[in-house]
Amino acid sequence: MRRVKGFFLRKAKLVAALAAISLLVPANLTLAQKVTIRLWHAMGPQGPVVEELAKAYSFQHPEIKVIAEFKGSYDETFLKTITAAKAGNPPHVVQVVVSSTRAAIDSNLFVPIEDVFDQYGISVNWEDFIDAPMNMYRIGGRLYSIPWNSSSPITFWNKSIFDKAGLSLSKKPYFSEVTEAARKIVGAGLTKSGITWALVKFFFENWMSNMDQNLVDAENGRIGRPAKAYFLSDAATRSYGWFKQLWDEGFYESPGRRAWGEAKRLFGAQVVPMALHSTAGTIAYEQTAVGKFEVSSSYLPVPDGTERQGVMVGGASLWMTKGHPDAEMETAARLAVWMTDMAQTIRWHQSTGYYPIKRDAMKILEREGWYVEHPNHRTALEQLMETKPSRATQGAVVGAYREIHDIIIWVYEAIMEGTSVEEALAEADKRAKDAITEYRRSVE
Amino acid sequence: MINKRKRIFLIQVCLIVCSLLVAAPVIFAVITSTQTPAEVDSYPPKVTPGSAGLARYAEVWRIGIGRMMLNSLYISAVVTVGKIGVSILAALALVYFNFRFKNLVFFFIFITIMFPVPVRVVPLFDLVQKLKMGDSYYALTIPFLASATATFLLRQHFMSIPASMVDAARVEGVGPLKFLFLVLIPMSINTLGALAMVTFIYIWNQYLWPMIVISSNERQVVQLGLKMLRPGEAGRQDWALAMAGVVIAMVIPLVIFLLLQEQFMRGFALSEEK
Amino acid sequence: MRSAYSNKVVPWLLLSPSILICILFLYYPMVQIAKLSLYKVAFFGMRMKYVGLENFIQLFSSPVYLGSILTSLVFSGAVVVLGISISMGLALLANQKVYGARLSRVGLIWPYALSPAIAGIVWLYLFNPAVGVINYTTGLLFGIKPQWYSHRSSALTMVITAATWKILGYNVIFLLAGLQNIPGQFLEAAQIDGASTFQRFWKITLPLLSPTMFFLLIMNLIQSFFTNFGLVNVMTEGGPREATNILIYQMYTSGFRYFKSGFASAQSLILFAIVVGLTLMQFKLTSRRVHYQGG
Repeated sequence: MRRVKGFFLRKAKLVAALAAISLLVPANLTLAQKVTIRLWHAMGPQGPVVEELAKAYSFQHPEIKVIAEFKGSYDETFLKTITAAKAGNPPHVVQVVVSSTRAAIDSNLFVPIEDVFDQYGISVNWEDFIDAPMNMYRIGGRLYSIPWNSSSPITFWNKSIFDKAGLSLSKKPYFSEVTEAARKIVGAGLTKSGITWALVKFFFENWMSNMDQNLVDAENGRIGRPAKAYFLSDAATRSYGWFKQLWDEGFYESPGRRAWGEAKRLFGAQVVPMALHSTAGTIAYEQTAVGKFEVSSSYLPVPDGTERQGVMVGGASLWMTKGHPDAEMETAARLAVWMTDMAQTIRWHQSTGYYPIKRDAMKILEREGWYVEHPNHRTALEQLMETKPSRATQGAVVGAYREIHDIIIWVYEAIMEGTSVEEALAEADKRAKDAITEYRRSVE
Repeated sequence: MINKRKRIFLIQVCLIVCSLLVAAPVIFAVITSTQTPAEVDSYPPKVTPGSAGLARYAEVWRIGIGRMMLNSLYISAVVTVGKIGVSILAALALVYFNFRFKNLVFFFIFITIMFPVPVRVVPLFDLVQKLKMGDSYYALTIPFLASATATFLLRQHFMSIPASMVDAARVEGVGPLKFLFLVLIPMSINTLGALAMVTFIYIWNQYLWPMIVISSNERQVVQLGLKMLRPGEAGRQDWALAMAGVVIAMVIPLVIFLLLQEQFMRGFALSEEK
Repeated sequence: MRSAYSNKVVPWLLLSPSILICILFLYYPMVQIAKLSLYKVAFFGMRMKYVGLENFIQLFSSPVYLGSILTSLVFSGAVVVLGISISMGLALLANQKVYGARLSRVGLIWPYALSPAIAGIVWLYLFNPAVGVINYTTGLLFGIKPQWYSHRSSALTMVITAATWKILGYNVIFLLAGLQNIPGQFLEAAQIDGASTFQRFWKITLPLLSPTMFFLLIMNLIQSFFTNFGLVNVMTEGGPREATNILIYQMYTSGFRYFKSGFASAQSLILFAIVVGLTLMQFKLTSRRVHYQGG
């Protein structure tokens, strides 16, 4: 096999680095004693921060080596975990997206994290955590995973352009305000289009929750397995109705399905003055605007006259897989806890925009005046704090979530090709029922 | 009646234009790979080499696509050699030996031409996990080592070798392996070259199977690397980067193709010279 | 006497690797497909339930699956028709006895070495609504810049274009060989008799090329059903709204995105039936080209 020069150079650097590190490691620790913990995640843009965390933990605990690997999208990461588990070699800790909660439980791959903590006597004060994510991941009284990167949707807007148009977006905008702003700004020729957002389920879910509408029945899947999804609800109709209006008037610029990066690019290139995104993109959005314009943020827009119920928790949590030796299980559990400790939570929040999972984190940062310089980080947090607890905001638990995700995207695409909202939602309702029924057929 | 010279000239021009048209997409790709993001976005599109030079290639290599290319090279080489080896032995047995069930065995191997990889992918995935070969080079190579096509073609080719050579060998008491190496292989260079090219490219281009069975980036093949570079994936926005990946993914099979395409033509009896 | 050696053990030794691999990685999975297609399976076998032919019944009454069949037919049909006709033109051109034809032969064939994924991503770039060359050209010529990615028909067009381009090289190889095998006397005789170029092509060349064309028809069909998974995955991921959801893509979605192995196995079985059909057709049509003594 041909060896490339780069290979050799890298090998040489690696050897030199190892030699240097070995000088720092206490002499009585050999490599054989190292416990290796593998953490698989789906953090693309935020990947480097995860790497840093892994390195930091490894550095603080010389007997432990944490390898954090980016495995692609949440779907891909989940699939690869299944694959690895079947091969007998799953990673210890996996980041699983919130919507896959039911599927994760059904897959039999994971141990409820609370059980792991109990087994090894690791005590965690759950009271310190923000309610919303805890409510999401606690099912049937047991906490299955530890919340880690939680997020909600917010609206990023280009303050510089808004200023030029003599406008400003209010903190808690209604649909009509956004449409009006788009109309004025595009009309003044300041940008090509009005708003963009990636074609994903995220925003739809949160419109539903904001209007106190469960996504599925059986109380959003929390008291039993659901049988259908509420695509025919008023909330769904109004959400997609607004989308259709934006599309018909030429104010919505489509980045493509699941194209978070492209949406950001459109915003950064000032093709649109507004973008719906996850709070997890705060740093990324601010970076893309550096030197060009000022970024402001507001809550997710809701239909006119709606009393905001609040947002559901998006993002993902850390799950632990079965089948590792005790030493590794315990170490992995401690790693998971460490990742949500105050210092790490604050750092994670500051470097990305995901919520700090601990209640007090926000207070600490406020005292330090950090939010004065980073007002955008604060927006989503406030939106979250104002959320009223209900089944809708707790989030849906349904096994066929992947199918439903595809259906939500399907409705967007149907509307963009001229299908009426009613027709599209009728089809969506049918498909969701089929998908849920099919899922139940195979797990019951 | 068009002047004969004009006609020839016209044909030549057409040939050149068509070749350029066929090559155009790839030419664009290569040019784009040298452009900076600003140049890629520029309007009208910039069709000349950009100022980023080879920077994208360094980046693509750094990200891990280079490693993937080496993976592809490794498995393609292994399977090419392995599959041809396995099939040559099979053809040798089927043509130069007489034993019960000979035709049945040939049929048995040949029928698998109707079992393409995508059809088998679901249970193959499961099987490979059971054999503890998941996420490994073994999974990418071993299932490909038996081939209906290669066995068939080699068998056919062997059968076209004049009986006189076979008789001469028998008279001289040459054993089967010696016969293979001293007579059969030298007489099969075209077929072997053709099979080598086809196999190499076939394995290099595999997409669905590696996508399913490989979960770690270190063992992934370069085709999947292209997907990872696509703008829209995980925050990627750089078309120049993607095009650099394309070039990296295409160089080696292209070289193999150019080296062996003559053999390929002859081996499949596709060219005038025999 | 063909067989040179009379040893009865050695041949089995020589055949053992082939036989073993065939049994393990070719036959066994096929048996598994047949079996799994009768079950509802979740998470790769963590849960299994026997349901008889329910999977098949569901498939053939599912609008999405039936749509996928239609999409595959349209996609394959277009690629085959366009691919063979364009390649025919190229092959005729390259067959001319002019200086440089040999060189341009290579120039027309080399995309054969490229993968579907490469073809996919290159054309995805060309079709990019914002920065792609195609929209720049259509903007100049017709004043329109279609959103290629977002509409069903345009996405399908994109995919068909990429797939057709990719297969040109392959087709030209075989068509050229076929053309070169046509005895020159036929065409000369016809020319002397006063037949026009078109008549010569239509009445002599085409009929004599028909075996090759049938061969290519089948091979192109098989390729567009199976090999182009990578192309679709890179370009459109089956969308928008199943516009490019060819059968193999639907199978992948069922099996590896929704984790429905039983369902996916049933689909694999259907794909297998298609392959069998196509392969048998190919053998019937080209059997006279295969000279081998049954032996």
